Amino acid sequence: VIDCTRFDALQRDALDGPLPAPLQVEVDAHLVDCPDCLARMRNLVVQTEVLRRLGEAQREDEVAAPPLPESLVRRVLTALAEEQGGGSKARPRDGTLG
Amino acid sequence: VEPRTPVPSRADPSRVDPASEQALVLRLQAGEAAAFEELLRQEGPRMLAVAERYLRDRHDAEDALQDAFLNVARSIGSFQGHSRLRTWLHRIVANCALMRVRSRARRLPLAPAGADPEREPAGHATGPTRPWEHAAADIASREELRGCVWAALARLEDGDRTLLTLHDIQGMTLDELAQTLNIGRTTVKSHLHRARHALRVELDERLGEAHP
Repeated sequence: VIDCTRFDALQRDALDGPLPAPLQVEVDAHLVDCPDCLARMRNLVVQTEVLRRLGEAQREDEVAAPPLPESLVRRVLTALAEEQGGGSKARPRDGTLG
Repeated sequence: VEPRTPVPSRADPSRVDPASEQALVLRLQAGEAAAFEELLRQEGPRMLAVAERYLRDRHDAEDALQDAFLNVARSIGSFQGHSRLRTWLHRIVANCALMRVRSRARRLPLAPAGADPEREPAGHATGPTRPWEHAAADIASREELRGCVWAALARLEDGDRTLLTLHDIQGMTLDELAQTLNIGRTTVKSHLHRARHALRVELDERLGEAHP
């Protein structure tokens, strides 16, 4: 029977994917005996799903992003003009950057 | 490192038709200033949001956006059109943001992996753990609970927050994390495991209080 430390180490190993069957049996046996580890593991599963959904929500928010502040637009364009004027690889024609 | 590129939403109102995009690319390749401004105004808002996702800091995200557009100016000549311009730009922005994440990680080293505040030396779990799966069930639709998670993330050490942001939120793999942060894969696993527990402890308190 594994203890909480071993259970914790196996949870870390499981970051790489499912545990080998014999180890999974040990983990399951520990969870039957240890309500604390069971509660922690269940909350971690929920947490991982919550963070995944936050990522999805963020990606959806990108579509509805507000226009850039004018000050930022000016700042980036100025940096681009300076870069081009400083003799970068790109060779702008007349009326172009720089 | 090339993070996964999100699939554009079907409801995306900002789709660009291929002919317009090709014309814009030609103008960019000619170094036309107005073309860069057009690209910046068209894609900048979305790309700033991309950078902010990685960095969680508006000021850093703006710097990353500027880096990215300088990179675009340098490398647009080699853009072959094998991918959409937006996809190509997304990759550049993500890489510029990750460069800053890497630099930040160097400044703020990860905490020792064994330092789990919740465990005694013998390894026994201490302190009660309240289940909060019901409280978290509708996290995606409730701003209040989203805020709760962000607040919990904000209380973590920077190294822990970075790992969770990149892996659990952004979906980077362990190998991508190891490469991005320039640390071994085993170390990534240990730190990520610890970071998850650190966040769980924070959420334990917050979600328990919000939904007793």
